[in-house]
Amino acid sequence: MAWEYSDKVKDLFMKAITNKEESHFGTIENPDGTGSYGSIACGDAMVFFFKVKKDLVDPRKDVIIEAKYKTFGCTSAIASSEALCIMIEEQKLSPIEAMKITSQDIVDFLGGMPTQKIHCSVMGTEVLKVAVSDWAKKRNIQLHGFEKSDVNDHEDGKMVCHCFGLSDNFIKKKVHDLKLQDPEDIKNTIKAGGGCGMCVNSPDGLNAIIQEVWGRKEKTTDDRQLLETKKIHESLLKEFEGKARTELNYVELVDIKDHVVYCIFENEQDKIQMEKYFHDRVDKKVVVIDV
Amino acid sequence: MFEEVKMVTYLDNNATTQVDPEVIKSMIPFLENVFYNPSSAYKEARISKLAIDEARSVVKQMLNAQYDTEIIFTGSATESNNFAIHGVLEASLDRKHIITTKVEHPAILEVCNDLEKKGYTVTYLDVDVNGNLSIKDLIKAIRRDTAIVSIMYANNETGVIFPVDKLSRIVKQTDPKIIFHTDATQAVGKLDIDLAGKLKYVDLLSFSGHKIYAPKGIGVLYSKKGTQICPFILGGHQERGMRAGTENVPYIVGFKKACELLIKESSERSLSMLEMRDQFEKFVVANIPYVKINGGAALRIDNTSNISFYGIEGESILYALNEEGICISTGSACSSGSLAPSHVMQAMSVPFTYAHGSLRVSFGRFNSKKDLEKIKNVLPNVISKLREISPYWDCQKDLPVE
Repeated sequence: MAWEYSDKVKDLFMKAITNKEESHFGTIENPDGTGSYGSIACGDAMVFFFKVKKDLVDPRKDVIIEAKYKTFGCTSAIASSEALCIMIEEQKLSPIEAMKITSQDIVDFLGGMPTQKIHCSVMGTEVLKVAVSDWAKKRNIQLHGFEKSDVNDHEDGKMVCHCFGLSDNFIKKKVHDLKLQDPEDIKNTIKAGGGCGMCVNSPDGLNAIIQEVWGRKEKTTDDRQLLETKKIHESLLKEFEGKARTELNYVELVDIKDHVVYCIFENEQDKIQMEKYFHDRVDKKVVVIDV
Repeated sequence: MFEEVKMVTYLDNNATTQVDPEVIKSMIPFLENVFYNPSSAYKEARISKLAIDEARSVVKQMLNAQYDTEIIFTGSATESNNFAIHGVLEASLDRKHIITTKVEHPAILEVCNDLEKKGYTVTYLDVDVNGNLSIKDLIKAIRRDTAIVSIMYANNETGVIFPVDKLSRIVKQTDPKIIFHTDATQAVGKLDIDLAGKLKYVDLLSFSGHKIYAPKGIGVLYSKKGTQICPFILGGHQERGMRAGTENVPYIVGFKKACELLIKESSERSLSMLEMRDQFEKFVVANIPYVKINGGAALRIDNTSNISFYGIEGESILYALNEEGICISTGSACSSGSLAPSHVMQAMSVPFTYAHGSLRVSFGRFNSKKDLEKIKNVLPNVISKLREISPYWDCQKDLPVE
């Protein structure tokens, strides 16, 4: 999909990848605050560092004088990281003030972003919270009404619910531990599937996980024909336990399903011979397939 | 704006191809003077009708099918795929099971996802790390109520080829009533399609014009004579009632020309594509550390290369290359609007550290050594710049961060 990026996004991205001096990517030795957010599994990750000019009387009045980042992500994730650093440095904010920067502020600074890319700016504000709480700890400040951002720790396994960043292993564990029975349960308990809903029926999605954890409900099919097929199947199995194994030539028996025998043969003749053998001894319906 | 387009290094031929000038030339009379509806009764309309008949015959010849009537023109390969699956299910109402693979194009996968909601059961076959299917898995998946097996011929992202000849034989020998469908969109023009010989067990085959240097908006569904399938689009007698709607005569004519060019095309061309692809991959492996060629150990079509770069995100690579005038595509999350890497990368268990940084380079008829040189010149620098920014890369050591 081609994204329509604003000139600002393009400009900041290109600056970041072409001109080291002007851009903010990099690290800070002994930062006053640092934090990371996201993970490689999510497709976005950012590490953020800042340095403050310390206020000797009130640490709350520290002013951020330098901000740097390292980002793994797409064009807009890198541009958002740049934007965050520029905004903080230009406005000479204290860490507590900086925390008031919203993802919308970043989007506005960038001159808008495609809707599907808004999460890139959210990453900036989240990482900022983590870094500020690191600073607060170092400066011995209690931050009120602020919870440390949940750091995503679902790096193991495949992402299932992308809206809330939950992996299959995490969901499986929850489904099992909390005895969740259907997608509705899952949504209400751990949010998975409650966003776009794409993962409910996706191949490795919530329904598949429920089936995996609680067992698949086999559909029952019926009738006499089945019984007959079952008989053929059983005699085929018996044959391979006894005579057929020694009297027939084949490289490997791959599978026997119903009246069908799947084998690897060295030549066509052996296959024909096996088919004839079973037609004579078991049933005309037997089919032999060279895999 | 259009001037600009001409300057680019276009290496995304699996997405679409440039229309061949000869194809355009062949279409023009049918956009100008020969505008008649092929269904009309007057003699002028016969020219339109005849053009379609001839096109059908050429397509048949290219696929080595048996009858002209086995070729149904559609609007796209996506339509052909929808047609194949829905049409077969409607014709075999007592069968409610579908087998496909985890790496199909969305034109199959999303149809299957939707059918699951409507009470059908779908088995999605896994692939291994090289992108290959297991025959045993297929055998295990076949059920008494399996209606259709749909397995692509060549993967659009990695180019990995599935042994459709063998797979279709196993399915049809197990139960002749199961319909075998293959989405051959990426295979036509790159592999010989022989429906009377090697692929004689295939019942249905989809492909489209715009991957073979014809315009977008035209596709084909091959439907072997006798295959139980209902029409998907109703409302007219066109295509013997199998696909209603006034025929897209100019595009069908262009499609015919594109097929003629493929028939004529010497094997040299494919060889040069293979050469370019191999040179490209050799160069990348030799000059950029921590790369992974996805599907490299499997049998692949000649033009496709899917490479993952550790620790960086594909969309930003794509963007940076585009700034240099190169068009490629990526299987990264951020390019598709979802947050997960492509379903193909996931199915092949490509680690997340690599999966997000995958690039697909696909060569085509109009590429030359110049294009290869261009990407060789630009790529290493772009990769190292992005790695410098990435928190997962240690620039001092030029290694991933522990």
